Amino acid sequence: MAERTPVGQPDVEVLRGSAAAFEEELRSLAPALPERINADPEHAENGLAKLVLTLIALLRDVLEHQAVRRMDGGTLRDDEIERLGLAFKRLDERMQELKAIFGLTDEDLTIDLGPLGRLR
Amino acid sequence: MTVYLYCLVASGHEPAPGLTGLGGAPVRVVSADGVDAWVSDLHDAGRATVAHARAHDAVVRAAMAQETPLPARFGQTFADDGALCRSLRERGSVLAERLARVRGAAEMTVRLLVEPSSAEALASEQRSLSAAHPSTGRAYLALARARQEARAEAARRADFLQARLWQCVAGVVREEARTPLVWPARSVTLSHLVARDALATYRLAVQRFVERELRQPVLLSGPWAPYSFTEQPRG
Amino acid sequence: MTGELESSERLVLSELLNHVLDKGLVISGDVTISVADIDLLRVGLSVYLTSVETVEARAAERGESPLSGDDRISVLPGRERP
Repeated sequence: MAERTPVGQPDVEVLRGSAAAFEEELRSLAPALPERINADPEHAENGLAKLVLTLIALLRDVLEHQAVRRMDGGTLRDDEIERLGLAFKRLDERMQELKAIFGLTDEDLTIDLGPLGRLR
Repeated sequence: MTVYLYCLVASGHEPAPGLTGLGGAPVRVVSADGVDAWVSDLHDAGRATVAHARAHDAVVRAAMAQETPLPARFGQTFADDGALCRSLRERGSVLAERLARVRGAAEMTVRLLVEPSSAEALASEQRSLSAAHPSTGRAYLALARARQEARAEAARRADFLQARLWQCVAGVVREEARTPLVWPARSVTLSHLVARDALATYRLAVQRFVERELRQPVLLSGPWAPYSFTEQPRG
Repeated sequence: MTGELESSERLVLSELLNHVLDKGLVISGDVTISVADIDLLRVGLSVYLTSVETVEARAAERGESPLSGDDRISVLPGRERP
């Protein structure tokens, strides 16, 4: 049993920089307490909104990436670039509105799939 | 009533008498195929509170005092002992392998904030994207490209810092795990699986790395139960 | 919830939450999506996990290199893998 060097309470040590900066960063990283056992009817629809908006944002990322590649590759006509860009712009505006309505931020638009990692 | 899971422990270790978990319920053992699950009964719906999260880690830490466990993620409940046993048996040999992998070790976590100048640049990139209201489609796509490039840049920087730190700690680290960057990424999180008797050496190696090579803010925390080393190694 | 804690205690708590809530073994493998306190969707991840592990075990038996994490999720953009 020699290897059981006791492990006490964890130390959290700021080796460089300010504690405040890390507090803020850790707050933004920490996932919300799980919704399913913290059911608050008043905010319940947010779970669904978050799911839908995350999926839309994910698709938007994929499609935007393709659009930029095509634009840079020179395979799109000027009017096509314009149409695509405006469509994405409108989608972005709608998403901003919906995020505001449901009180979500960009950082909320991720879904934790446990061992599979994060979606988006 | 449900059965709440704290961690898996190699069989042969008992929770100390009087050890309690969520809601003050006594911690007991459910055994399946050479692996012990430390659980307690949960009577209410299991509200997710900070107190409960602390209670979860306290039980994991109590197991840690005997033998390094595989800590479960907070919030997993099972209908009864039988349901838990079935889940464990389905993954039996894999779980035993993973327990062997973390044996005698603890997790240390290093968080590096990205350089302030870059962080500001990224932040203003984000702001300009949402606030600039580009009037043409082409302008919007140009901003989308800037966002994609900022993401790629953050990923490159994370790779670079990870490689440099690794050179300094490789001798005392069994395994490394990096938490995926969450956009907008402002920090890189690296977790290291370190033998418990090498923790002091590890700390020194990280401190030396910070003093000699780094300008970014750094946070070092641990020892933790190996929360980041419960799944198959990736990549 | 953290208003009365010292700065160092807040840091410890934040780190603890980041470990306990975001990491650790997932056995039940279910994600439940609820609306107004009613469970609507149960996404069974355990089925998928079992199949990935089975696939990897079989690949190893055949002497092939198992799928890496990257292969499984490379369709998802905007996230970085180690």
